Amino acid sequence: MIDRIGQGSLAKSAIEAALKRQAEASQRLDQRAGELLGAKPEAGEVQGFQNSLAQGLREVDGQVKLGDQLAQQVIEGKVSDFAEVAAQLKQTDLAFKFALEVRNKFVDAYREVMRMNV
Amino acid sequence: MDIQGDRGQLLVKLMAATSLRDRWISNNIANQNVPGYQRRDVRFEELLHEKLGRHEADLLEVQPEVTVDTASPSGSNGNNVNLELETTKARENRLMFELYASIFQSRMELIQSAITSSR
Amino acid sequence: MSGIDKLFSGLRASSSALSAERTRIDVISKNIANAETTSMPDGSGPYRRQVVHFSPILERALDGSRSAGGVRVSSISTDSSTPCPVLHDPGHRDADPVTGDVLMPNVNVVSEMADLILAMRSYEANLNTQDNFVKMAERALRLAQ
Repeated sequence: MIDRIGQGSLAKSAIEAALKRQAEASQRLDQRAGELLGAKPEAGEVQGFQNSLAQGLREVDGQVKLGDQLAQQVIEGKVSDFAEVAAQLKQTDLAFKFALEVRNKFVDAYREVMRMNV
Repeated sequence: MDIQGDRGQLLVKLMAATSLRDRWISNNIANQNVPGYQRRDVRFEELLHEKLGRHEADLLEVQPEVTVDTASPSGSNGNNVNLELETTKARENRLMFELYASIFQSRMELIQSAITSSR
Repeated sequence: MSGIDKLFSGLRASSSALSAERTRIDVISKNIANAETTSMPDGSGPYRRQVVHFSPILERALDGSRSAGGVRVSSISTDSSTPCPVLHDPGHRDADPVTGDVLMPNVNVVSEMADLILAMRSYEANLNTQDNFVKMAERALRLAQ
C-alpha cells in the first residue's frame, strides 16, 4: 500500500536536521561578523571608507540571514510551493552576489586611495 | 532587497497558481470514479487579464480562485470527470509552468550577468 | 500536517487514489476468482460479490477553505441486491438434491472485467499525475541554481 509521502521517513528528518544545523552555523558566523564589525575606525579620513566597507559586509550578512529564514520557513510549513522556495533562493543568491560586488568595489577603491598616499 | 522586482514576483505567483491548478486536476483524476463528484477548476490568468493595464502592484493582489464545475455533463453516477479532458489539461498546465519557469529563469540570468560582468 | 509535508501536498490526491484503486483492483480480482465458488468454507452458500465504495477526501484548511485531499475507500460491502443466478445441473456437487439446481455466485465476470479496466485506467492516470508533479517540482528547483 502507498504510504503518505514523507511521513515518518528517515530522509525527511535528515533534511530537517541539516537545515537546523545550517541555521545554527550561520548564527555563529553572524556573531563573529558582529565582533569584527565592532572594531573602531582609526583615522578621521579613512572613516568613510571603513564605514562603507562595514555597511557592505552587513548587507552580505543580511542576505545570508534571508536564506536561513527560508530554511526555517520550510521547516515550519509556511512554504507550500517549490517555485516560491526556488525563486526566493535565487533572489537571495543574486542579492548576495550584488552585495559582494558592491563590497569589492569599495575594497578596490580603498586600496587605490591607500596606494596614492604613499 | 527585492532584486527580482514586481515582474519577478508576478511570475512566481503565476507558477504558484499553476501548481495549485495541477493539484486540483490531480484531485479530479483521483476522484474520477467517485459517484457524485464534481470536477474543480482553478482560475488565475483570466482574473489577471481582467485587471490588464493596471500597475503590476495591483496585479500582485490577484489571488487564484478554485471553482466547482457544475456545467459539465455528468455520467450516470453523477460524476462529471472526463479523464481525457483532465489529462489534456494536465499537459497544457505543465507546459504553462515550463513557460513561466523559463521566463523567470532568463530574467534572473540577465540580472546576474548585469551584476557579475562589471569590468 | 507538519512542516516539510506541506511542500508535497500536491502528491496526496494521487497517492490516496493509488491506494484506493489498488484496493478496488484487489476486490474485483477476488470477485472474478470466486465466480464459480458455489459453497463458501463457512457453509454460507455461494460466494457473494463484494463492492468497494469510494468517497472524496476534502480536507478543511486552517482558513476554512477546502483543500484537495484525494479519495479514500469508505467501505467494502457485500452485494446483497444482485440476485444469485440459478443453474440447473443435478450432477454438480452443490446441487440441491431435490430440484437439481445450483445457486451460483452473483458475480458477472464481464461486468467485473469492465470495472477492472476502469480501475486500472485510473491507477495509471494517477501514476502519471505523480510523475507530472515530480517533473514540475524538479523544474521549479532548477530555478534556484
